[in-house]
Amino acid sequence: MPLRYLADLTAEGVKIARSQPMASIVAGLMAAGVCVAVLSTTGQTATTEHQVLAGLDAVGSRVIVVSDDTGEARIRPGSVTSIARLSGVRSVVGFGPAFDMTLPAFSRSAAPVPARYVYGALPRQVDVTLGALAPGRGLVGPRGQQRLGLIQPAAGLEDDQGAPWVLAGGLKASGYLRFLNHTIIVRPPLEPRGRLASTAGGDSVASIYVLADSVGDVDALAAGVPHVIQAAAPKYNISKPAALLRARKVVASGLATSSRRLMLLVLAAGLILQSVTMLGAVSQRRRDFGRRRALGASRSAVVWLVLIQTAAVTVPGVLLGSAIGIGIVRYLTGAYPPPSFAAGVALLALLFAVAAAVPPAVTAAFRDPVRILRVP
Amino acid sequence: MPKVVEAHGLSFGYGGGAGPKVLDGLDYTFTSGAVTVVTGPSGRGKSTLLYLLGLMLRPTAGQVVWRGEQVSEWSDGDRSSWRAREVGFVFQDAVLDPSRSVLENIVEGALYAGLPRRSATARAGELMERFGVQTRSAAKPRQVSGGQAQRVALCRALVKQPAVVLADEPTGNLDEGSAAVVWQALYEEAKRGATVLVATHHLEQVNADAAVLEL
Repeated sequence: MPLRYLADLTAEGVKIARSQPMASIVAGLMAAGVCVAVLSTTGQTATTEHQVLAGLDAVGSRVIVVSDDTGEARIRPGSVTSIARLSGVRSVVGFGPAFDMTLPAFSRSAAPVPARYVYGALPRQVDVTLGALAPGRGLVGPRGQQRLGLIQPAAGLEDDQGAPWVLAGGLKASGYLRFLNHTIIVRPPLEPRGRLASTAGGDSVASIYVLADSVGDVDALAAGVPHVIQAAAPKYNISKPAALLRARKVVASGLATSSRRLMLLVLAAGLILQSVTMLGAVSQRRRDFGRRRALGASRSAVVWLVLIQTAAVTVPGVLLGSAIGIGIVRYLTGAYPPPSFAAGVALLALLFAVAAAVPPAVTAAFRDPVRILRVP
Repeated sequence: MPKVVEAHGLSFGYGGGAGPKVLDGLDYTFTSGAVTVVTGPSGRGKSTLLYLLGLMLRPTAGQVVWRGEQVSEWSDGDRSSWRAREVGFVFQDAVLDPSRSVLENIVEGALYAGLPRRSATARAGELMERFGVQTRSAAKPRQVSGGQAQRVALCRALVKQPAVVLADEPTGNLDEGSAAVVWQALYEEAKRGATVLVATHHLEQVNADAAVLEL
């Protein structure tokens, strides 16, 4: 069909919808009813599911931890950069083995604070509240600062080997890195000093925290990380939040399956009602389609006209029903349903309505026009 | 005159040919530029012949030939497309869309032929003026008289300038004055070169030069 002809037929289908106001209103309200029913039932489930999943994702189901607990793996700091290049990595940060730091004046009496070298860029979960991270300088978390008895996070420190360090600022960490609030993190100095200077092979990484872009990336990343880690021996552990991932899977599949089933049931009921309505509308225009066939409308043109008529009455109904359904979900759960879910319901309702119109359309197209025209 | 539409051994029986034959082996040639009046008692197949020639029915035997080509065996799509382009139908009771204006009813006659709406509207304007219904262009069919409705139906049939005009009792419900206007229009179409077939019982206003096919 040429495009202009298709456009003319489409306009004609819309006109047919307008010329049958009662049938159009009924069909439109039916589509609206389907959207309201789906959104106010499965929409609530979907909204809850969305909130639960968002919560699970936020608490760390995307974090993979590589740890060298015994120190035998001797993971090289370059591994952090290599992991950062993997696809699906949101952020990666590594930490060296812990060593103690204290204020020199009170080194015998004050409590030491654990310090760690940090490798790679600080992720969003670490907020530098004062100063900046520079080679050989440290940032302290609020609990560590408290333990050192400092009013401001700035002081000269020494490690357990008596080597001097500069505390140049503070940090506040959250989420899976909130343990840093108790520690001092230090960018490795250009020249090794203190206990680490005497460590054979230079500095090494004791733990690496990898944040994946999405939960779906976690398994692939966990499998890919060992290939890029540079270590003296593969004696490190890779842990992923298996329990959280399992819980997520249960929520995503269990809740989803039941709600999708209910949604399909409502849509199927709507499909049947819509089909009956359109069959009625088509029967009312029996003579109209006979006339069109006599004027040269092919069967496919008649089918197209009925489908466009259906779409023309369904679209406003779907918009109205979606608005009401979203309002009901907001009222009942205090949250809006996920936009993708609401859009999906609207699209499905439209597709189901158009699919429901296929049998009436085909019926109209295959009626004998001569018989129709000869019966007044 | 050139042969345009030919009936070759044309037969038809309703019920897929199982019922009694309405037409039985009709051979006839309809030429362009002429009016052929199809007449005969009721039930002898006048309307059926028009529907067969308009490719709305398939013959149970025989062929409809259009400019040398056997068209009655074409697919539904091809037959519809041919009807949309080449055939203008006029029915006894006008068969207008009651929800549309007179103008929209006429323009619809060109829709399935794929003619641009703008040129169809312009042509509809000319035809409405020619048949004296231009003042009723915005009216709905229920707001016009029977004679005006039939003239609107005539405009709809002619808006695409069809090669074949098939009129089934076009003056059956009209008074003498309105009937004369319709007949005049049909003769003018024939003069333009169209093949015009009129199924009717009423031979009073048939010109002497019209061909008569009695069934």
